[in-house]
Amino acid sequence: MTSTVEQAPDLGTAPQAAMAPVRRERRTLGSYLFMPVFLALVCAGLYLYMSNQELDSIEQRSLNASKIGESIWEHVQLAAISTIFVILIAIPLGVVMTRPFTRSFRGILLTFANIGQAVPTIGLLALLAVAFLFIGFTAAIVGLVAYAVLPVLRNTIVGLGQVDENILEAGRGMGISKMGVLTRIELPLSVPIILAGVRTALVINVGTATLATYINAGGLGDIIVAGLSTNRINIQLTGALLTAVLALFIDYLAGIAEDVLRPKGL
Amino acid sequence: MTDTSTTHARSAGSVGTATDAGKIMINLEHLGKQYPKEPKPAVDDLTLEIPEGEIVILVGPSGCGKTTTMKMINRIIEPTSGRIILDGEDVTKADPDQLRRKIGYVIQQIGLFPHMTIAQNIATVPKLLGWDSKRIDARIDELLQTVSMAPETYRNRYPKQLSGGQRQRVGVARALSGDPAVMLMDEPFGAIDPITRDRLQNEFLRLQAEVRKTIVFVTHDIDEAIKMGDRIAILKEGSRIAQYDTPEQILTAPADDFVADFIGRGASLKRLNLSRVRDIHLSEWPTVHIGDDYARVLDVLRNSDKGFALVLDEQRKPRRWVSAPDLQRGGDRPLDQIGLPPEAMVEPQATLNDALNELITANYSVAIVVNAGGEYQGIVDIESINEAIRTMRTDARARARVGLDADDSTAQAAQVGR
Repeated sequence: MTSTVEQAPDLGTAPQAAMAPVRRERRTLGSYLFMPVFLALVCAGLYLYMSNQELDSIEQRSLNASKIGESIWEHVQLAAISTIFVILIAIPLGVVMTRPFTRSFRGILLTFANIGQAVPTIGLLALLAVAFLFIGFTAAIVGLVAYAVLPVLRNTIVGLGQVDENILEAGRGMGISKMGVLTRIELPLSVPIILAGVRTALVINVGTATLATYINAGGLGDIIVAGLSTNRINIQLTGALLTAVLALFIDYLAGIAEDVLRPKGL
Repeated sequence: MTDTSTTHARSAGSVGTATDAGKIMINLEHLGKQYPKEPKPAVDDLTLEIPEGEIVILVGPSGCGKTTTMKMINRIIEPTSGRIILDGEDVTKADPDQLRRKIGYVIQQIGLFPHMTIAQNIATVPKLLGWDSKRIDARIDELLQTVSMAPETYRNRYPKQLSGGQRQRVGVARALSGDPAVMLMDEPFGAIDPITRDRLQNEFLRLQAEVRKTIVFVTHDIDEAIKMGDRIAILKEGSRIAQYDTPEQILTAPADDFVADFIGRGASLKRLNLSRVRDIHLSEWPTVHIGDDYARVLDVLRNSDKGFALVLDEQRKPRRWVSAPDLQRGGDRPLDQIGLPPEAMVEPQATLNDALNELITANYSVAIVVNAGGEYQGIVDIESINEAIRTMRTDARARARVGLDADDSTAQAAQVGR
């Protein structure tokens, strides 16, 4: 096979070609099970505690299966839809901002994204409601999206930026079109970093969606605010705990999605 | 191989012609690259002919523009002046993506796609060319075999699971996948340890002997240039040609001080890279058959002046070195279980330099020559190498004295006439 016939094994001392920056060992089944079991125990504990309490009529109005179920569903919708819009806006924007032709106005776009995160969501929601009389579900989505765009945008830019130049040159040199290099090389290789940004955005959205209640957009914020305004500690506790459980559970699901969607070979 | 016109930088730019060659595959005509805001052009009016089926090496000090020159051929870098003629067709303005699919491209860092398997990496260009999946699969297996990697083992692996040398092989296989007529290689063996590099270079030369691609090869290493090149362009700053010639000519007749400096010392040792084991007379060595009894082996050893005999098996493959003391200690074990395993085996197309490296590190200071099937052909020892160096020196001296001797004879003729 070689003209110098020797059986020495290959010495792999060439510098490692671009490796993914985040490398994690495969998780064990136990670590996959821990979080859902823990959250189920918290919910069960909350249920047992509440069913042993004497609930007055105000508490009963908030703490029943249909009201809680409805709030959770609204909350999930707020978080999910806003995150979808964040993805649809931030990833293409991130792609555009890493192309050479946008170099001149890249800074301005990033400044806008930064403003979105710098302004508190509650302020933005109030502004939408007062200045534009814009309230309800759609207004809440606008506020959440503005707040959560930045982490995804930033991670998209960083993710695309860390792809090894040599891999791109090899791709271009083989005659893959610019679009082909983007969709078949750059984006797949940035998936771990972009997904980390999406996960952050999702968790932010689950948390901030509690504020949507102030502009009549529902969600678990309804329960918390009802508890606060009627001074019922049981209602506040239930709303807060359920929000926390939901946030942790969605983060857990996003973690699994990250593991599944990360390209093999990285 | 010899009478190539030697060219020097001229005022109208530098010109490298290959007059003795057959068809010219790549023609660079007055090629130039001027970066904005740079005082001097990176490539200054370069004209170069690259013959079909040859390895042409662009070599020069760093910053001389050799990589820029190469990258203009597939227009990774767009030239600012001049034309590129590929196989008779002006591709200076052609669609770069279409052009690149016809040109294999290997870079030092290889740039395998880490998220794709070896098979997917190799399939990239065939897919772009619209081959059907059956043909692509067959091509992947064929290429993996060509670069000595078992397809069933490596097809579905990812690049990070390979060693540096294996990645380089996959890089070459990927560049060959679309069966391009032309390959561009930018220091392809630069990031590999010296031992693996030698093996890969030899493998590549063997592969090239089969596929006969037109190859433009960039390196800064003159030894690599001499070993790999059919023709070498030594470049100065601005990609100006100092000399464009065969390795033999460059070693024997450097065009100017720049070239002589660049070659450096040890030209005769460097020439060992030019001669191959098949070109020299192989020495004989006492051999015995694996089934022979000890008495026969002792007999063979007694009748030779060597201390060791080489044991060959039924296929005439070297199996063992045995000496008389080995036989005494051997008891009644078969011949292939005593003595030392054979090492330092080279094939006929290995360079004398390879053979020298091998035999110096071997136990018995000889390199065993075997053919592609592993059959024993003869041996190379230090005397053979010495002899080769002496012959080359004599030849070189004769060539260097050509002018002198001619002058002598005319002078003598003049005297006789007087």
